[in-house]
Amino acid sequence: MKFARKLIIALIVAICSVLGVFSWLLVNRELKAFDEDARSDHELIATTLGGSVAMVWRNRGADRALALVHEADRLRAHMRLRWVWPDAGDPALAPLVSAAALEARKPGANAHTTERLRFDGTKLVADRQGEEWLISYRGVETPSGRVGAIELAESLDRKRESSRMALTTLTTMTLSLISVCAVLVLFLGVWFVGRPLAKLAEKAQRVGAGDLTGTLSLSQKDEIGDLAHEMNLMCERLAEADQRVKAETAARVATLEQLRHADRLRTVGQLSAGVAHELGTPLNIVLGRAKMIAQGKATGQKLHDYAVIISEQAERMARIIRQLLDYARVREPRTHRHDLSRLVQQTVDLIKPLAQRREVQIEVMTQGSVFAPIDVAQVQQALTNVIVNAVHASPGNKVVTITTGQLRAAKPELGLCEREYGFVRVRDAGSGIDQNTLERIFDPFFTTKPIGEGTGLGLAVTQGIVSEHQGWISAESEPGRGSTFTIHLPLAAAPVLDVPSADLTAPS
Amino acid sequence: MSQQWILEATLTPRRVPSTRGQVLLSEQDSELRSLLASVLREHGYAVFEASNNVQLFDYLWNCRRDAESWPEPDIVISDLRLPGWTAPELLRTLEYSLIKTPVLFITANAEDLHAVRGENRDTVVVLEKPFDMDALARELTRLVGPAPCATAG
Repeated sequence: MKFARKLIIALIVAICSVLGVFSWLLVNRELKAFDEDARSDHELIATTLGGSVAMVWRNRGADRALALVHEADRLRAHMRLRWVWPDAGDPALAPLVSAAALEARKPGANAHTTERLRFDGTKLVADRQGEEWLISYRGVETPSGRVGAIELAESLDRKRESSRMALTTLTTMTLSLISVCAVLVLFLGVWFVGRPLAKLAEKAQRVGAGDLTGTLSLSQKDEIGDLAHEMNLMCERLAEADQRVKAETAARVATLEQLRHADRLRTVGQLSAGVAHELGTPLNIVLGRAKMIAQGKATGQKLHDYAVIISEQAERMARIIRQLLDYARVREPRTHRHDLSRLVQQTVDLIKPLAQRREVQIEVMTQGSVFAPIDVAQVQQALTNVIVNAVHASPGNKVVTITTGQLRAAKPELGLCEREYGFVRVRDAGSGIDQNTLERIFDPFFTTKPIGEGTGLGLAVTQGIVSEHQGWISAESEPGRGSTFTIHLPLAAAPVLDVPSADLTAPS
Repeated sequence: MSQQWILEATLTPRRVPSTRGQVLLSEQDSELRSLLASVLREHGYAVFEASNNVQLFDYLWNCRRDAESWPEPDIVISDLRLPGWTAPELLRTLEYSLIKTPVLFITANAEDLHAVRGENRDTVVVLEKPFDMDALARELTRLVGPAPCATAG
């Protein structure tokens, strides 16, 4: 609508200026023509009347001639006619009378230089009321030789009247033109520009809001129609791209699910191998010793020793199974907001006695509170595993450094979007871990400790807990200078991936 | 290489029966090691106990230099799960150390079992944990013959 208004204003200005110039020229010409008409009118009347008066004067005397002038005056409605004597000294007539002619007509002048008195002319005069008069004189030579003149005076009121009328006509024309144009422009503007533009704007808003459906139907065969068509095409292409991205995301998630599944299978395989290996040795001992007792090969002290060995090995197996259960029992975390820094401090307090026994110091450096949604018991277990490992890895009189804080990072395996994570970094001063070991360090039952001291489940359990919290644990090491384990836990709950659930048919 | 090795092992008897009975036992777990050693000794074998593979290869190195005090083993019994070693690596190392004795591996891992079986069938035997002590004795008798000073059957 604003567009139509602007168009109307522009058109009005254009029409007004064109008509203004046009009417100025027209009125000017009209006035000029009126003037010329009036003058030629005067000329004609003066010539005719002058001739007639001169003839009548000559043939029938002055009275009849003057009566003729009077008669003519009476007949002309818009004109005043009268007889004047220029040499009577009427100052109004002075500029019209040739000075030389006047001189020649004076009594006693040289008869040879007689010059015919020219006493013709027209002049514009304004009277006291400001009314304009066109006054003409025609000299008439009387038989006595004295030159008189017929004066024709015509008011120019009619001229003003006619110009006013011309102006009125033009104004009326202008106004009607303006109103017609305005209506036309308003209608056309609204119909061909405003309406489709409003549709386009609405469509653009919908696209901006992410709604790509619904084609824009504009039957116009002009630039706006082209624009609508292009917009439709653009939306189609956008919708296609959107669809493709969605399909790719779904495929990606499905692949991830499958990978996770394969990973789970691998873990089960590793677990069974680990269980077989861990339980194989104590079972073998129990089997062997029990058979010895059964065969009666053990007596007295030996019998007692064997029984002790059997019970020790049974306990060893029970411990392995308990840890295995712990590993398998990583349940869905029941999270609530808790300060990671405080939890680290509490965990360190629990581990202090162990560290003191091994003469290892633990230093905690926190950057204030780090609140994250965590299952306190689980995360404490994870922290305990990592910190105890660090204490075990550090030789006496060394320091285990624990740092907490927050950082912005993307989860390595997904690498999609960055999020805020709280982190706990545990740095030991041990001998470090070589690259091969580092790659397997989170595998269940992978251990570098002597048989019987560690089951190789601690870091696997830790990793399980951390992943259940949508976080991750990373390990870095420089052989000879110690290792660093960093636990990352998200500070806010994970955003849900917007993927149609039907596409997620990963094998279970 | 291993094919050639089998051939040599089967064609050339390397020992007189009187020296039979030296067992080189390598096992990390001390309880299992002492159990195995006591069972083997009961069957009349002489046992050298190694708690890890460093000691195992130390022994083999020593017996190449001084066979008098370090009798060459008639059989090597070793745990297959050794930190930093895969089964084929262990076998190959034994080959390189030029010990042409039968090897008996004890393992709890089926994967290791297949790996070793793929290598060699006759002179390498794998016992799966947990195994019966009588089965161990039977395998030993099959591989190196009965112990010279066996007291009990």
